Amino acid sequence: MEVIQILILVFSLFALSRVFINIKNKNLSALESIFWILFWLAIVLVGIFPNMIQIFANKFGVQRGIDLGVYAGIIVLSYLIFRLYAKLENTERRITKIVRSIAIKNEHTTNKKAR
Amino acid sequence: MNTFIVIPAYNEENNIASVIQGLKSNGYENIVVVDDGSKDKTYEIAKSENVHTLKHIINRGQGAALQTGVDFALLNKADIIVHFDADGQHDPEQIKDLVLPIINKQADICLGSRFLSKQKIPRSRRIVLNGGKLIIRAMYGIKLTDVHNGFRVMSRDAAQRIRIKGDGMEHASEILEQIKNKKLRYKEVPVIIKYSEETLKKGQKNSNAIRILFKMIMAKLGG
Repeated sequence: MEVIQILILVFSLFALSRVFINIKNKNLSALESIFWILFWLAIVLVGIFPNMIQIFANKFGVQRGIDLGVYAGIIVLSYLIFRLYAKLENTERRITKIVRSIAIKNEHTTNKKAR
Repeated sequence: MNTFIVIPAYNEENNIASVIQGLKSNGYENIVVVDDGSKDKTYEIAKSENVHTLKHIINRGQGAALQTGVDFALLNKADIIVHFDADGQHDPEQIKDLVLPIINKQADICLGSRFLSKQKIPRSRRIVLNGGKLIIRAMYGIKLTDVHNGFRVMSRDAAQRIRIKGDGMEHASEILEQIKNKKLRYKEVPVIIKYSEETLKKGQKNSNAIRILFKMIMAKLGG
């Protein structure tokens, strides 16, 4: 076993443990939990049997296994960034909503007091 | 007609008092200043002028502040709502020109245009605004001479139907998109924008146009 394989294994197992902690704390939905468990298990498998990815690559019409890995990685990362962006926008909107309702409420109550 | 002037203000302690006084001397009584989490004395100064003063406890951007002011005006039974800048760029005497088509039911919303008034506009700003014009036409199919002008007047009905979701400066494009989608009748009215060294320095940077475009595209994609 190469050093890189051991590193991948150690990191994947660490990531998996974080996933389980987040599931325990109910931070992840059922679908997300399944996705992340499968995702890291797949990395573990590839770490142990690097040839697997080569077989997949051939099936997808990609020459080298590592190329397939890079393509898949970029796609997954792009998707995650997009989701993060959408979530952030959503959070921003909620913050604005709170700030707005505080602003309106405060002016309303001071108006009433003045009268 | 109950006319409300909504002024979003961020760090405008040097201008806000004179802007409010200018409006008052033109006979406008219902003035709503939305202090967008300023770090200076904008809120205190506006408050001492005895107008409605709302405070965002943290800075949320001009779009957010405008919507807060509009919500407040609607709650207080506004018939006509005016968007007005806090930095003294707009002339209070011109409000009546934008209000008239609304009262006469010729339009639901009037947009100020600095191009129709044939005034001098700094060259770099002119180029950016012309680019914006083409993009707005391509994306929303609405033909205007000036797309990012903060001087607007709308009827109560239009104000209820337009909801600004973008917190930042992209709200100007968003309003145009909603005018189109909700089939509101709009009219452009010539206005003079006073460009001073201070407003050019403090106000919108030309480079901010890129960020606005990015936000517009993401809004189209993500909804």
